[in-house]
Amino acid sequence: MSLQGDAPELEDHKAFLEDFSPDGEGEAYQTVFRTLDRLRAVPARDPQAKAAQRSAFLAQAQSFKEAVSPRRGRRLKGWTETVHKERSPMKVLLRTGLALTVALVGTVTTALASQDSLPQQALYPVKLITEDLRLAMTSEPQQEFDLLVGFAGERTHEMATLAQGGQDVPLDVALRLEQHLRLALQEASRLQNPELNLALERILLMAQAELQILKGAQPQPDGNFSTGAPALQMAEQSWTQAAIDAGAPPPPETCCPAGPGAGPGGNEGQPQPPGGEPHGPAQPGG
Amino acid sequence: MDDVERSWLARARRFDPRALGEIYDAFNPALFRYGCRLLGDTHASEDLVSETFYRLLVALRSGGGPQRYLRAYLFRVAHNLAMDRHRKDRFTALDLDLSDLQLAAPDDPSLQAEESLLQSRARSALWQLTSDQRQVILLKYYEGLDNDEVAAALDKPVGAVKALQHRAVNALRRILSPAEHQTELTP
Repeated sequence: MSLQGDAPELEDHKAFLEDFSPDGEGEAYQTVFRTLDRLRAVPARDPQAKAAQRSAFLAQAQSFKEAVSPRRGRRLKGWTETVHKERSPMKVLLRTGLALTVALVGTVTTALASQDSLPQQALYPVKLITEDLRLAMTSEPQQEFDLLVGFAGERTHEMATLAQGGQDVPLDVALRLEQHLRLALQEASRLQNPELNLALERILLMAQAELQILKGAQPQPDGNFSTGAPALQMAEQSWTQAAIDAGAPPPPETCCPAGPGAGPGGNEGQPQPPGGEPHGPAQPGG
Repeated sequence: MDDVERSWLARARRFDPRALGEIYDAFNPALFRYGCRLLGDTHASEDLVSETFYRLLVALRSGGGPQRYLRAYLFRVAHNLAMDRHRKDRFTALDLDLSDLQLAAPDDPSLQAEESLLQSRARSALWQLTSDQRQVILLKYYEGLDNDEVAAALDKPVGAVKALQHRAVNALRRILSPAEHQTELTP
């Protein structure tokens, strides 16, 4: 087998070594170059095969020349030269899908994580936005009512947690609670019996429970709300008013202006449960 | 060479048969050597040459292809094809085809086998390099391309070529040195 003689000869690899400065002993590099030199010479080609291949190449070129009309213009690809990379549509699609999936998972995770947050915490605005979105996506009066009373309970729970932890309770939370209860009563007014009665009864029962929670969150042993907790006071008023709107008898302070003798204690300020009412639940919003 | 290549390219875009013939004659031996060194098989190397020139025609037909460095472009196409071929063949058993060897002592079977082993070892070492390192060795060490052409073939800045060359040789040293002491077969 003869050797092909047209391989370039690089004497002592000078051209290659011009750019190469070895680390350490030279003998190891000589071994590298001796090994590489085993591949320097290659077998000679079959001249007939080579000629046939050349003819095939030129014939192919001729067929291309005949088959293709001149291009009118070239594809705009300046941007690919700028970024040095042409992106395949599939890769772009996959990357976009991946980005959307990550964003969706991140959003859902954040929304879920925010559900236990309290006012003045970083994720609390996310919690409120989530609630607003859920409300906006609901159109049935019964479902909206369920959501709103649930949110009202959540606001009460937040205020009680803050107060028991010795933290300030923002007034915004109480305002939002008042708004939830007002909207809940409006939604209840759109219901027909027996759903209407059930909704009002639910507000009454919730009012009882939530007022107890608010009382328990008070730092004062006498159960009165201090002036330092106006939000709690406002929340209590909201629940009491909601209970009255739902059909509970007004507390003594409401019907009889509070005098010096009207002290705290007993069931004062608490709505009566609907079971023993002589009159049915009042229509709210009237 | 640069001006010649540009002239060839301008004519090749019009599918001038004379220019295409000159291009083929100028570069097919180097591409064949390139294939032999990487693949170690003359038939595969012939296929590599054919496919590389076919890809050139397809690129020219679609208005693409090289703008300046024709030789570097052809080597890059050939390297990609060789990589594809190597991936397909990597799990097939190695067989020593003595008829494909280029030997100093063609009549001595034992020397043929020894030479085959050394060539396989060198080829295996080349395949253990990264793609860019391997191309630097093949183009600069064996074919004597200058840094500009190697950079064009790799689509990298010229400054990166020297660093790649340095790393390639050091990597080969690490790959070859341990076994070199154990199985030194060179005379």
